[in-house]
Amino acid sequence: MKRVMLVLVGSLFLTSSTGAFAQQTQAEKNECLLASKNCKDQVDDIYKRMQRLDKEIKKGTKVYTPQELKRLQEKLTETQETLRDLEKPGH
Amino acid sequence: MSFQKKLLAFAAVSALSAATAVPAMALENEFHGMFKFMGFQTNALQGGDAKVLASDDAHSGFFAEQRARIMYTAKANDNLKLVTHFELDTRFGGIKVTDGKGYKGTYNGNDSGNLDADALTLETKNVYLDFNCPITGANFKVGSQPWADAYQSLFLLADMTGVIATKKVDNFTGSLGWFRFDDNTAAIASTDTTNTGAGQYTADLIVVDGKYAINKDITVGATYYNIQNDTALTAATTTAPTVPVPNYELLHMIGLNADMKFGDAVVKPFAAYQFGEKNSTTDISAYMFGATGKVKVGPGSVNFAGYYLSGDNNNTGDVKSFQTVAASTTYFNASNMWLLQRPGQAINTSTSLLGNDNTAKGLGTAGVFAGYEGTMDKVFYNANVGYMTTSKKNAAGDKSIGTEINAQVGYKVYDNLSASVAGAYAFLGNYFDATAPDADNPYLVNVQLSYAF
Repeated sequence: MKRVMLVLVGSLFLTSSTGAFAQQTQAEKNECLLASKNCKDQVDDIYKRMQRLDKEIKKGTKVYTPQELKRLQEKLTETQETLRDLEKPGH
Repeated sequence: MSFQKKLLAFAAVSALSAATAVPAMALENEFHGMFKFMGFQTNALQGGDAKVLASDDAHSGFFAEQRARIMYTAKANDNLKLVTHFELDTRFGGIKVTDGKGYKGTYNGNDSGNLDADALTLETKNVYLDFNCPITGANFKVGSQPWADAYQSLFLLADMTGVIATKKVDNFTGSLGWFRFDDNTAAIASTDTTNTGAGQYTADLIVVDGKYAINKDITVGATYYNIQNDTALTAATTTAPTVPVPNYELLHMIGLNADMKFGDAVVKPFAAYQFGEKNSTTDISAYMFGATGKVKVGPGSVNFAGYYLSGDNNNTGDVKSFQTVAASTTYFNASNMWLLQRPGQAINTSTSLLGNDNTAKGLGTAGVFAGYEGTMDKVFYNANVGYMTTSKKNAAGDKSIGTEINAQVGYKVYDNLSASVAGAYAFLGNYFDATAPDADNPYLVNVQLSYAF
């Protein structure tokens, strides 16, 4: 009986831990934009991505650490560079 | 197997399943792209890279073209991704099979604008690996990738094969790169006994770039670029080209640049000096400087930009002309011109009065440009004026290339789609008097649809 309980508890633990990864976090931090985690339904176009990153950056230190804000800023710069590359004139 | 062992095996398999499922979910498949349609009514553009016409009784005509770019990024995580970027260019109606003027992206009439479309038009722009090294903390980009100089692309902006490493330490960002943009080494013929190895006739660019953020508003930078061009070196058995690009053997370019914000104004000054060897008997000593800026005024911004490239009209002694790699890989988008400079919004037809050659075949050029841009709800607009001259007089003793005025108004149909119309007119200067004394002033009207996602 003890062993059966152990198996059930173990299985429950594994199921719930996997489920947490499958769902978008409910916390205020946007883990997808921040660290490419929990990216569910990521079909943002390039303008929307820039708007969302900008929105997250504006949340400031109330939500993100200075290091995380720096990372988000880098991602915004990277996205702006992608747009520039897409729209580069000439060859 | 005892029950306890089965239990352990089950737990191990379950844990493994959970562990492998997690990283797979972090993979991001990013698709981005753009589509532009452009229609031109003009007496000056010929379509493609052929330069803006300056000729007598230039006929006006209408042509249309389109470009799509598709970018796919396979992002394993924040530290590793593969970037691929492709391009599809078409002129409406296709191009003449024998058109030798180099219409962008097409060759020998292979243009899907022809009747019943079906043609090979897919071009590869970039394929490169972008990763952060866990040991050094540096970012590496390896493969065919875009690279721009720190001088508003007056020297070089191109897609090239190479490797560049970038490392940030506090407020300092340093880059070290190597690009091979030409390799004309011929395959060894079976009868060749000289044992010519691969990579003998090549052109390489070395990049050293440093930027330091003094504070959040001011960043200063210093660069060193080096080009070693061995494509023209001859040997008894070589088939190396007789006209190499670039047209010099060794070039060093050192420069300084800055990005400064003062309240509502942003100013970006730059200056650089070049020295090297044109060939075994002639040296290079040239320079350039300029600045771009933007100041918020009223509902929009005032833009200004200017530059000077040194020139030479004396064929003896050292060359004082500013050197680029190729005219087709230079830009000055901050000018916001349509005819004097290649337009920053251009697609397949991307040219200027000098055929994008801001060195004016060695005379050098200088330009001053100013304009105003703004938005009103979904409407955007801009108007600009610019003047260009050669730095040294041409053979006829003339310098003035011309003055351009242009304006554009557009409407954002959706967040990602804009429609616009633009007009540009250039008053030709006396630079063209010797070659086209009765040339008509060039003009164009542009209608555009632009979508990016």
